[in-house]
Amino acid sequence: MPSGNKGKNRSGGSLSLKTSNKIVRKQLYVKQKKEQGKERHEERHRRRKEEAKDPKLREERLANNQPLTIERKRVWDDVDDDSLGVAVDVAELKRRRLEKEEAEAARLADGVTEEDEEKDDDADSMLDSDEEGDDDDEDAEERIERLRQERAQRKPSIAPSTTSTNLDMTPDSLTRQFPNLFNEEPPVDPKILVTTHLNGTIHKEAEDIAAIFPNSTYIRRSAHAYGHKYSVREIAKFAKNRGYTILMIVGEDLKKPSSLTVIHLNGEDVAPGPSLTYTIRNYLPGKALLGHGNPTNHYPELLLNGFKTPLGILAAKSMHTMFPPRPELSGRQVVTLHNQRDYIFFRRHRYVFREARATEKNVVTAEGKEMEGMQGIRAGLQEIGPRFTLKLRRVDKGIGRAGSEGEDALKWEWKAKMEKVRTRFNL
Amino acid sequence: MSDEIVWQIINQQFCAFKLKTTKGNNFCRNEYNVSGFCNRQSCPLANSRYATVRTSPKGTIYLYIKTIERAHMPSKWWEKIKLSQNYAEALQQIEDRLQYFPKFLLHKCKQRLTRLVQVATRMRKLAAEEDRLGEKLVPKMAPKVKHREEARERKALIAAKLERTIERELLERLRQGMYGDQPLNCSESVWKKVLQGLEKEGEGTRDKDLDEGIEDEDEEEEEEEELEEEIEDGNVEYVSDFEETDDELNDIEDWLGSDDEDDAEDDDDEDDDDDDEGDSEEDTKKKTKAGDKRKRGKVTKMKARKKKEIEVEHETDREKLLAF
Repeated sequence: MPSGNKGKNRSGGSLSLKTSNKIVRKQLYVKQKKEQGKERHEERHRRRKEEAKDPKLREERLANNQPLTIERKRVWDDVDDDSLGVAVDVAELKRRRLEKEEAEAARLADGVTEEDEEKDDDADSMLDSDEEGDDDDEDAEERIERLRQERAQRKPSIAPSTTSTNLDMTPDSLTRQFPNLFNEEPPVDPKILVTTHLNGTIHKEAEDIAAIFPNSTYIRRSAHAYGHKYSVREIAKFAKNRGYTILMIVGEDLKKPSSLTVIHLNGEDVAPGPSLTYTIRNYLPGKALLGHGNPTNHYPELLLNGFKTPLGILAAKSMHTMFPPRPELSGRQVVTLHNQRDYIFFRRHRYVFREARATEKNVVTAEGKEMEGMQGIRAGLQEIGPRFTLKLRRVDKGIGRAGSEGEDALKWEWKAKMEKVRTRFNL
Repeated sequence: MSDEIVWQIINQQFCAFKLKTTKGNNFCRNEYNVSGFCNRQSCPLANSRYATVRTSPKGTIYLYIKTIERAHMPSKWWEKIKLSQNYAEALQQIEDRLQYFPKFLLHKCKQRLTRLVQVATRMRKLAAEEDRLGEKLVPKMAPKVKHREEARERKALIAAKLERTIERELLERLRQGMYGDQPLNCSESVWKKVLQGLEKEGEGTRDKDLDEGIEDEDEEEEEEEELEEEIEDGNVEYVSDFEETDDELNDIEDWLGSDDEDDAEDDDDEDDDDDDEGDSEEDTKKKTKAGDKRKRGKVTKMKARKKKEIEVEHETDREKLLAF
């Protein structure tokens, strides 16, 4: 009991809380609830009627009351840097730079003197112009800086809608760091070798994982007490000699696949490239899925969603190289790697384009509008094969931790402190 | 003489290093003991002339010798002699040093040396093997972090709306025409419906160029030619139709316009092809590369050139969408 003062003299609180007679209090409370419910009900009813007459009101209301999801609250690192590990939206960055350049060009075209140009150049460099504000031409610079900040803060209008990753947006630093991944012309057909950790026992699951990727083989790791245990580096060397492009190592924990290391073995002249280590969670084989389908060996289509930062683009490109570049559309299979808040969901589906049933609505784009031209058409999906969640933990320069040398042997590592801020994501 | 006294006390009264077991063995915990048992011969305290072999923490093996001459200086009891890394040489060294010592001590010291050398070799071999395998045990995640990640994953899955997203993407691709003009993954009826829908929405004109079959395109071109003639001649015969075709005229002009564009770009492309590597070609190449990622399989190669152009147009649109 909060205070000994029950009854009529208690301050604050409604009558339904103040009354000390339990029966009366009960009745008052029921009455109060009813009234509240009635208010709300009438409000909604009135709104419904108005919106039935004028649908624009509804749109406005929805546009104003957008739920504040974590995706909308996402926090980006406020730097003009696009190295690995910086949480920067690559598309945004590119746009900002383009606009900066345009502003520069515009100012140059306006006939600014050379001195001013230099000062402006300084202002537009990586450093904050606030620090290097010159007294001369302050107005122009301030204005530009303000514009830039405004542009940076303005939410990209289409960000939530474009889930699909555009791999053309790779920043230059990334292409420089990983030339073998990003400069592959023409795109090579992948050849994948899958194996497990030493003393691995998850042969079935590893075979399933191998079956996901066309043109892959699974080979057991020798763990005989007196046999020679091949190390990952040796296996990589053999695989490279035999023309494999990717080596995958499935780690296990308690008889379940728990990690996946993807090592890019490049062509003959290039040293083995980056190795990305993921952890696997929630692995479900096809059998465990209700109403699952069976895969065929057609090359699947690939869907890479939601990779925004440089690190994300690296991961996306790496996964892109794991699949043959030309999918066999007649197989109607699609592999989805969807990144949401740093968790990459892997799904495999068989799809069919069909007409919508009477009870089905039309498909809606991410902005909420109906997709034009696709009235009455839906895509039916049937899930096949394993499904799991990946989370990127490490990017090494060479073959795993032991096979990388040099100062930048470890390109990126996941650290628990990155998750302190709920709205900051790395991919 | 004093050895005897010491031994009597140790054996019968108390020794801090003695360890008795239930099986009746007496062990000696003294680190300088050569055999490990609590015996008259093995006790380092009860023998003024003694020898052991021990390793340093780093791994080098030393021979420790205790002599009667230093019995009154306990801090200087043990003479430490570094033994050679070579096993045979080390054995010889022990023999030389312990020449006049009791055979028991000599024997035991040699045995100890052997064992220590074997252990060291084995440890080195294991370390090398570990190094070769290059496997490092990753520590398990803290339970707090594990739970946090589990919860976040669950929520991320809900936020992802996977099946809706996949369906939306697939339909987008179909709509954009990335599957070609006769898509292998779409049945005829559905494809026709898509085309009709696009026409209605006004995006039909461009898509029409792309998507109709060869015969249809010829027909269109014929139609366009006819209509062109009509316009040029301004035949009185078609007066009545002229009014009706007013609406169509706009469409025709659009078609003509787009055709001209395509032809122009076609020509450009040809020119560039003739040259070494024009920028536009690289661009189209690059865009088709991106297109490869997005379009994934232009299986129908019939109108390759034209499709490329239209791909480019589509690409830029989509790029713009994505960029901004």
